[in-house]
Amino acid sequence: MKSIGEIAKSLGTGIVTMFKRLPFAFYILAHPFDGFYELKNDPRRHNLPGAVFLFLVLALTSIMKRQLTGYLFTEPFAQMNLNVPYEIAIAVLPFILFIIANWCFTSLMDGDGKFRDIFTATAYATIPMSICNLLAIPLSNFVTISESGMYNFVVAFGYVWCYGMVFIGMLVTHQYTVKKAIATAILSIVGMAVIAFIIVLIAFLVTQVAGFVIQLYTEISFRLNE
Amino acid sequence: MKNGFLKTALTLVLLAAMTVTVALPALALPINSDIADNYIYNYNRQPVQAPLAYKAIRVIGYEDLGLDRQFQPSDIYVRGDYLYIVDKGGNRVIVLDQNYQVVSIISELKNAPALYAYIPGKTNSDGSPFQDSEMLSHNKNTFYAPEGIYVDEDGLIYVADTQNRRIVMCDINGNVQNVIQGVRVDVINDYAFKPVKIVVDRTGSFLVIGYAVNRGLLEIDSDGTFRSFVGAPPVTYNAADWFWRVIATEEQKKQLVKYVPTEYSNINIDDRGFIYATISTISAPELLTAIAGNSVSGALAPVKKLSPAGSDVLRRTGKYPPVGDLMFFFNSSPQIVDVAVDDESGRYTIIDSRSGRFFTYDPDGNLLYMGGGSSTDQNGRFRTANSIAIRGEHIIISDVGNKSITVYETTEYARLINSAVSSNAAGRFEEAADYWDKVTTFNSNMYIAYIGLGKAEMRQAMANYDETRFDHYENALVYFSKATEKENYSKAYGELRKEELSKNFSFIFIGIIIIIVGIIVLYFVRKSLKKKKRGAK
Repeated sequence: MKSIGEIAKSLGTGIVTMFKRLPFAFYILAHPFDGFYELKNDPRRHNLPGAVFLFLVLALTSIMKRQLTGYLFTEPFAQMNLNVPYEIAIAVLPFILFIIANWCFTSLMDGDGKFRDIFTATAYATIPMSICNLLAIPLSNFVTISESGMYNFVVAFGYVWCYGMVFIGMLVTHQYTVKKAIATAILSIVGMAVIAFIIVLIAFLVTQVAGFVIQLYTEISFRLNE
Repeated sequence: MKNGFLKTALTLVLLAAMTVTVALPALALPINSDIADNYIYNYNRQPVQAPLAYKAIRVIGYEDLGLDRQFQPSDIYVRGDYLYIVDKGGNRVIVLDQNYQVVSIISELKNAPALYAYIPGKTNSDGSPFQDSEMLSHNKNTFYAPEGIYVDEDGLIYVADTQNRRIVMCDINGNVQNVIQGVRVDVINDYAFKPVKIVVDRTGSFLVIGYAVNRGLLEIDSDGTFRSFVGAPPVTYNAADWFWRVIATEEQKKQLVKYVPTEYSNINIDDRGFIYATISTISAPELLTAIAGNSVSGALAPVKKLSPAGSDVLRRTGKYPPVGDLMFFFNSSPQIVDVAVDDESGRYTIIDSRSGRFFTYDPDGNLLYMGGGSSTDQNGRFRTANSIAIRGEHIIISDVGNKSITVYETTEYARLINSAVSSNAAGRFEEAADYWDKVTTFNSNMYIAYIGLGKAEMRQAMANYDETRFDHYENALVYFSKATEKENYSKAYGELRKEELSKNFSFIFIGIIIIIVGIIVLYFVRKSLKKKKRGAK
């Protein structure tokens, strides 16, 4: 039985290790192939909490981008109502879906990566998007419409860099050839759509069943009260 | 004792409440005191409440004019002091003065020439000209279902005497000056000339909407020869129609409506010679497409401004096109049947006969305000409004369903907007800004008011080259963001940025130099530190 002090201490050391291991992300940005290989195979580089932290950073920068982007690059008055859980979901959910779909397919297609490897690699690959979000905010407050190309370039660059990193990450993590990596990437996207469809379907069915049960309950309670 | 005090207090409170309730309507602002659901479409095309802009001050029924139930106003026109009404059902022209009292009723024509009973170009089998037997029974000294009217500056009345197939020019007493009939339009086979609406341009030639003519307005010389078609509406034909055409069987194809260009429903001319024409037959899906695309071209526009050459020159620079209502059900699409133009400021009002609402736009195509509504027996509402005319601050609308003429007056709110638009058109932007400022106190959803204010601030900022110009730019930014005007906002921001940069140029320059020098120094310091480390090893 651990005491609270011990738990706090292990938590503290965990957080410290997480932050100590995070700067490796910048090494990955500069050397993606070596970086992702090391991230997967060197136990000293493993950083699952760091991956979660990076997804939170992505969500935070997305919300910042939504709220702080200059007037010229936002929908009028859109910043007046903000739904934080929704924004977090919009920013992070596609990646989570991708991770699940990718894991599903690659475990059938001789992929070397375990779920935690895919998760960590994808999280580290989102760093360019966070950086470009942060860069786009001051830029959007400085340029005019005629110079909007600069802003659009920074945003688009963030997306392209991020998706490129995800691709390289999958390539290295699963030890695939480029052809196979492209095939699994396409399959993963299809899988994302399938998962999204199933989620919607289940949600719909659950609401139906719940509605039926509630209706049944009301009906019976009315009868009993008669 | 205590109870009694409570009772008295309660009674007093109740009494006070009742007094307030009774007195409230009297205390209320003069705006919106009418029963009306006035609205304006905001920057996002959503209908939002707006103050009352038009107040019905007078409804004139056929009894008020001393007429019978045959009264069927089909077109009205204002020239000078007089209002001219053409009565399709009673076959007459009624002239009212400024106080809407009858000046004259023209039902008998004097000195009218014989009716032209032939159809130009059509012959019988033996080669003799074909005579239309129906026309022989018509009386040349009366109108027969006239539908259009125009009055020139000298007071000469032009009546489109539709079923008599002629244009009658007469004075206020019915003395005929001239008649145009038997106009030969070669392009259309066996065409019996039936004028529906008419205006006369500055060269003296007639522009006529012909019955069942869909190739545009007929331009007819003053001597009665047909010259050309003007402003032909484009054929409306879309992908869905094409698809159904392809898969339909021969039987079904026969049932499909033939694809013909739409006809104009009414025309009007301003003092500069531009013709305003309306089309009432645009279908709901087409109209919704045009609205969604904020179509600048006149392809699917219910109102057009035709230059003398016949091209559409109406400005449509608003956040939504000038089409009347933007939201409607598919089975009740707006039918824009007439337009009236204010010569001084160039603003125009279109009337939708389906909903009975009329909408006033500025010359750039921004919606200013609206009025009217649909109802059977309510003052200021219409059953089937069909024609509109403008006289200064009055709008006159005829309703063929209720057999009445309704006179509207603009409210203080609308007059403020009118003044602002007029000042703007005249180039007095500072004055316009003052008016716009007052308009925003009435209606904060008036996005063009903020555009006007923002533009005025921009001008002030550019005119005053001193410290205040920064404040003016900042104000302009606030106004443009309220108006959701990104283009203008960007322009103002670009100017402000330029000014700020040149003002603080020395600081920025020094800052950049310091950063560069700092980086170089750091680089060398690090290098020497590394060397030292190596040396130490």
